[in-house]
Amino acid sequence: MFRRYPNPIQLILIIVLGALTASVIQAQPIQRSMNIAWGSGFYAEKDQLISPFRYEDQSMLVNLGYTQQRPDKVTSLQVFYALGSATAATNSYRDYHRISLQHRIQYLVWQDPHWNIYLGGRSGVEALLTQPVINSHGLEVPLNKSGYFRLPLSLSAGADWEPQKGHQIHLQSDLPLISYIIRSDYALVAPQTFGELLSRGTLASWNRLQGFNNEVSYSFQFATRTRLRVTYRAHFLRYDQPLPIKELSQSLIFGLEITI
Amino acid sequence: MRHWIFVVYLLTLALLVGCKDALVGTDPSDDPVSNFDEFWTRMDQMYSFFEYKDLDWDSVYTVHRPTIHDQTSNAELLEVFDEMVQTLRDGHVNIFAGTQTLSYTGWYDQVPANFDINDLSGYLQHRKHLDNFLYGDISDEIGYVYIESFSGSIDFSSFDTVMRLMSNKQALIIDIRDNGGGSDLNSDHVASYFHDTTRVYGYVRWRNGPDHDDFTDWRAKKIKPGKSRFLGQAVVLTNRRVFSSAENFVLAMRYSPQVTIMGDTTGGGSGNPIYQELPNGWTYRLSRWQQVDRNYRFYEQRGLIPDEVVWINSQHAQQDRDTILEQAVDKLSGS
Repeated sequence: MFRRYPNPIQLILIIVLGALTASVIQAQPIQRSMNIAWGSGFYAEKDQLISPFRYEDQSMLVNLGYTQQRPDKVTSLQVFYALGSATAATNSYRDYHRISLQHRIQYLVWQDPHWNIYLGGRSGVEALLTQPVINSHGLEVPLNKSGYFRLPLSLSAGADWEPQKGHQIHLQSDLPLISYIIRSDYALVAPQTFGELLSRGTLASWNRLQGFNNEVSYSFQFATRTRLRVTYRAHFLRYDQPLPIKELSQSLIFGLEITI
Repeated sequence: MRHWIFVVYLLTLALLVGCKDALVGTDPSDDPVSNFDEFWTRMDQMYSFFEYKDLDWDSVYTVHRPTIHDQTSNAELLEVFDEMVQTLRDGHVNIFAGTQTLSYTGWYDQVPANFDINDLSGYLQHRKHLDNFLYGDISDEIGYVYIESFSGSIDFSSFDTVMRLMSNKQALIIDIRDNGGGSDLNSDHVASYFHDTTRVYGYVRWRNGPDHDDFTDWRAKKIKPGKSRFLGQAVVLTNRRVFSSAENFVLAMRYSPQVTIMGDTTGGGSGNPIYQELPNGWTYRLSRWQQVDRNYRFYEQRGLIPDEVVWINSQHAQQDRDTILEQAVDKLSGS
């Protein structure tokens, strides 16, 4: 799946050519659906630019999306938004907003009466805006707003399993191969403290996982055009410069999927 | 075979998310060695003035690390930390251990104060307070405003009110002596009253890598004209305890043609500090950036020399006279 030093240009070319090829072979029927979901989950973050402690929270999550499905290809656009206030053992905390916009294109690579297996790619934007407050000598010291903005390009694999008519289990994995990240530093509040401390691209390698996004969902069709969906989502991100930041979120999301 | 896909996927997922500690990491262990290592390492990775001050941080480790062991008490650890703090010669480096604060005070404690707020009463008419601002009249033409802090917790809309009251004055004295800083947002807000156009008044760059000379490019700091402006002449009064954001204010004001800086050299604190946490719950702060004036001259440790250097001599101090304020009044009166 990975090479030690994957060539990003080759990778982009493969994905773009794949998308072009597929777009030529598409005279098949299209099914479109919208989904809306709400959930909550566990969030853990350790940002060593500011603290050696782990900050944790039970965050809330909202998800909106659009999916277009052909017999041989699935395209989806999903938006996730979460907010919360993660706290450390020292009672320092950081309010945060996380938003993720994902565009995924996957092609059917294997099929039997109950299974469809897809492979493809995912691009998107992930952003975190956070306001840390350090609990220092009995005072709450607010630092400037900070965060990151990340553009990952990921390898995607998905599987649909229909054990009975109307019931479906969907598995989805995304592994980022290339990321471009802009990350700002922390300081006391000042006009110049938000912005381009770092902006650089990173490549995945065998010994350094940049992150993953894994989902398992169960859906049940309870009306002709409507499905109920329950999704478990695990998302991990890591970035090492200039000091490591790591984030793990696990969410349980309940939603509706409506065919349009 | 197909069901194995499902089972293997779920097992892999369970393994990944079950490894929360491995993925995100655990809280640091709280023992003297970990606390020492954490402080030394973070300073090594993030502090912005090692190279400028020609500090050998490795030798600090070599000297102090062998003295730390599992049985080291908090008091002993604080003694070691205090020596490390003094080595850095930076008023922006502190350790906060409960009620105790470790600080370097060499930037002001060897020079006269050049300020006693009690002496102002002999000069001010209609002396009033509005929140954190003391103001009054020196004469019908000259107003006086004392800003004791630029702290981010102070509501500077009160300063706008004070400036409205001063709008009929032909000249103004802005006294920031003993102002230890706060937020650059507030100091820029005050300075914006005295600029008629946008001006670059300095540059900052962040430490951004493991080597002591890893920095971002210089980024300009600009002051823009405020919504309201004071059009007359102004004198800013300084002393050695003017520090950090208060020096940022001096820097922004010195490039206004209507402003004169008067008093003593400032304290020399140009590194915006960040607060950090130690495993035992103590906190500390350290300078994250370097700031220079618009000619790229450093003022860290050196301070900003005023346009007119004035000290309160000992005889005047005994007579409760404020020589610096008197000279500012003379300048604005045209005598």
